[in-house]
Amino acid sequence: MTLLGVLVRFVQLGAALGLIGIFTVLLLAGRSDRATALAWEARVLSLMRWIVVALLFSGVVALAYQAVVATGRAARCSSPRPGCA
Amino acid sequence: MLETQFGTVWMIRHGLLLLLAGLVLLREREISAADWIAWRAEGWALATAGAVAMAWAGHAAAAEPWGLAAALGDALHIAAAGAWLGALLPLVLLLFAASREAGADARPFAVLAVRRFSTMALAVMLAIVATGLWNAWVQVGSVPALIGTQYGWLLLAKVALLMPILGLAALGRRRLLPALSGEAAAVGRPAMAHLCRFVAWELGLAALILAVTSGLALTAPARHDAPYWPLSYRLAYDVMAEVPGVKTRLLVGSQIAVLGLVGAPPPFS
Repeated sequence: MTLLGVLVRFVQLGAALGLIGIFTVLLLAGRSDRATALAWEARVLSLMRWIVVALLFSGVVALAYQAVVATGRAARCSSPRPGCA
Repeated sequence: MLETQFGTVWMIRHGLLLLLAGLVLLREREISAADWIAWRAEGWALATAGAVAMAWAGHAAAAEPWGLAAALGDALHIAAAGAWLGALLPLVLLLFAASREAGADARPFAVLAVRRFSTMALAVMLAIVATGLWNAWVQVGSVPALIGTQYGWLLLAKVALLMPILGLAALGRRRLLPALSGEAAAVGRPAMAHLCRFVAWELGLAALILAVTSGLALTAPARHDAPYWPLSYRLAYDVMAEVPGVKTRLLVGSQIAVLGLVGAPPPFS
């Protein structure tokens, strides 16, 4: 269990659950034409765009991390023997 | 990518996420009510499908002999956690905006949203606890594995973090939710600001739960780890059963405990 692995997993989980929650609240809250409500919705939708980008980016990092762990390259990199490449 | 389950699930998940990214990034303002609902429902379905697919790339998918049931339990756990935990940040933002002087116009909207969320959250929390217990049984399976392995300790830490969240949620539901419809300046607005702080605390604790869960995902399940028994005595019923009169005492004691639990006053009443 490395810090990078936990961090990537944290971002993945947080972003994935965050998206479900945002859509759930948007559906529960319903429509409103009030200025504050519209500003809140715009803010949440803007946040959602960043979360989607973070989720896709962290997904690529998670795949790379898994490949390094599965092929044992991380262990080879930390050992004194050559063969890390 | 094509020869491992992780790779297959990763491709399915990210295919769904690309669809979701298209839906979110290329959004145009909805005119009709049907479009308004359709956009949010499609987004919810894609986000949920993308998240629950993670269950088939984690410990649950490898659980033997309950592979499918374990993955389905984990998938439901993720979906329920998303509906509750993921909703906390937008709710904090809404409560914060509506509890300010300038946000008075959105207060009825915020009250309605919080009431609906509170009703849903009760069912969702029951689903989280039930599926969490099932996941714990699948991945841990015994008391020694729970208190004698790294996985078990992380799981206990997760449960310990959930307790204050349940307390805050119960307090908010009983005390603050009814006050939201009170007189705006003296009762309603202060209650909303108070509730906003409560939900922010829940969000902070939920982030810690998420960090612990991230650690759990990268730790060998307790069922597959050799437990280290940390106590100087063992909890073995087989040994106790041979002591004269122990069964009667156990029966009486357990009934007293059940009566105590049933008769205890509800918290925060």
